[in-house]
Amino acid sequence: MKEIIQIKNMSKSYGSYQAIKDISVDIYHNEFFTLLGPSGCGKTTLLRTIAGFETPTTGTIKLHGKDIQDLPAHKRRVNTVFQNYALFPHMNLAENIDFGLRMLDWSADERAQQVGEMLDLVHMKQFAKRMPSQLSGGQQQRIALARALAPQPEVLLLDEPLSALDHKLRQDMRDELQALQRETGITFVFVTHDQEEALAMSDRICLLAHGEIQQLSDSIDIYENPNNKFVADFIGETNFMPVSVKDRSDDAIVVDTPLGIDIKVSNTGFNKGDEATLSLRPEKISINAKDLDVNLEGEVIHHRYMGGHTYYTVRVDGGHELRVSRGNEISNDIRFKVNERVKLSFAYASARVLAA
Amino acid sequence: MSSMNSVRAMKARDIKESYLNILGLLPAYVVMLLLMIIPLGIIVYVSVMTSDPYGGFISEFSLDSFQQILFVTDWDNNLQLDLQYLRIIGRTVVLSLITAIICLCLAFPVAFYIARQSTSRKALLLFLVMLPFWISMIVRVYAWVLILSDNGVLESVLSFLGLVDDMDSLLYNNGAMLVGMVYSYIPLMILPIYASIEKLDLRLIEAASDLYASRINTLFRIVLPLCKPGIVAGIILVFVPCLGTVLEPMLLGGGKTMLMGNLIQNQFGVARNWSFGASLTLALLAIVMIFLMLQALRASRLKQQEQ
Repeated sequence: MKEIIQIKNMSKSYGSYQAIKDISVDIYHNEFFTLLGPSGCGKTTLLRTIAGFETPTTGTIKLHGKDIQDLPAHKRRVNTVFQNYALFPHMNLAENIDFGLRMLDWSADERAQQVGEMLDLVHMKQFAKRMPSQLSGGQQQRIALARALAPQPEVLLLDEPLSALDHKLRQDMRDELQALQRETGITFVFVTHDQEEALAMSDRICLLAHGEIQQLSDSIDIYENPNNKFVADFIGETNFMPVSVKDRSDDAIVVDTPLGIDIKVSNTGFNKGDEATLSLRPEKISINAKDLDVNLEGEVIHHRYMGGHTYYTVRVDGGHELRVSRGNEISNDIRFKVNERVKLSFAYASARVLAA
Repeated sequence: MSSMNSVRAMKARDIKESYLNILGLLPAYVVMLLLMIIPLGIIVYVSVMTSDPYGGFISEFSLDSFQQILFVTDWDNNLQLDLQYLRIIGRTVVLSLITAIICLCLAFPVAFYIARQSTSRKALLLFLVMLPFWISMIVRVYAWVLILSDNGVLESVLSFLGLVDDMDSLLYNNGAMLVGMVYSYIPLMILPIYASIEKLDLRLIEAASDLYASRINTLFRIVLPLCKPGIVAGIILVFVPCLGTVLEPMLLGGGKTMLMGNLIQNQFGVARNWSFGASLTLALLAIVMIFLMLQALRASRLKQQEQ
């Protein structure tokens, strides 16, 4: 893996507000890299410093090993797909795609060929002479992509490009974007606040909050092994409960839970007596199935049907409530009713202990 | 039969509605009639009458006043081409165009700067742009006389700084008029350009620089084309009143260099040639109409192209 972008100790402040706090991250060649986080976490600021619209307060950005933090945007071989596309309203689609090539002084023949290829790539050939205002949101999205890809940038930056599309179209565009990235081999840096989007497309996800990196790993790892409470909470759904470490050995700890039972999990650096938080994903708990490491009795107090699966809220004997998700794979007639008594089971390996 | 009836009923309703529409617009028609059609009619009437050398006009049909714009009658009653008025018309058009261009060059950066300020600062700066309109035009133009005159403010300051010893007079020439005209009309350029920059999506500027456009390229390929409606409006708003301007040639041109505005004024004043004044007015009107029509034609052609 070779780095294409190296960000070192970068900070960005606006007055007394620190948008980015001392971030260091490497982005690799040919990677679909996602910057994920809630609004105000600094993900867009980070993207804009790579694009050259913002200058970092401190720290360096390297593209291909060369410092670029002081290079103006128009001299960086990096292109952006803007959140609201920012197509030039006075140019038709072909002219929009052509703009970057013209600025790079490509020859007329090369330009015409590249514009044609890009229109093909996004399946918009027949619309070449249309004006942007005559397009739907999804079509504008495609042209924005084609315009940014046409100059063959080393890195493509995407600033929440799917957020303005409706749900169905967004699903389709996810597949298209991923395919496009594989096809072109260009490094994509994708900004989103939608964790589902991030999990579905990324090679690696960098989860940011308050201007700091919370976790940087691939989709499976970030979901299954969150670093801290924030990550576990932001990605997917989970049940949190406060626990205290009762006992510790070299590779495992035993924690005391409000469920009235002790759970044994692998040790991630806790000592006896530590207060911690236990995270347990709803789909890791099974209802009325075979016995696992932990088996509890409880009463259904609420259910929410989601189509593909149903969420049940179960009050375990002793008072603690757990959220459980169950896939509706057979049919919907074996749903559990409110007040019905059920048995919940989960394996020790499903539980994660995180710093309180 | 019933359908026929309903059609008739609909027609009656339509007619009633269209009467109501006209009635609603009546005040506008009255205003136009009183303030535009009637005065214009008077001007046309006076222009085709014979002027009375003692002031006013004699009700006797004659096209002499139009002839006078281009020709003079010599001793033998022959018509001879005379360019003195055409020269004034030409000077007026050229000076007005130059004024509009200078205003554009100065106003664009100002408008751009204002448009990018915070909301409260925008309001303040726009207020400052419009502030001169609160002071009488005569006072404002006369202020330039004090600045530009011999031993005036400008010369005193420059000679105090040791930059000049003895300056040629800055007053009473085309340059002085130009300064006055640019000063008087520049707010009319700033405001429409400001409005169009205000509407400009600043992300487009980022998008352009993202696509390798330098600042100059961004200005000429993105910003200016998108601000064209404001620029065109500003040019018209400056150019048209410049054509008829009176105060600047009178005070700053010193009456030596005539523009159409004070030429016309003279005809109704000291020259006592009302008919000639009226025909000059119509000539000025024609020039304005030609420019506006050219613009309208271009705009409609552009619209057609887009469809």
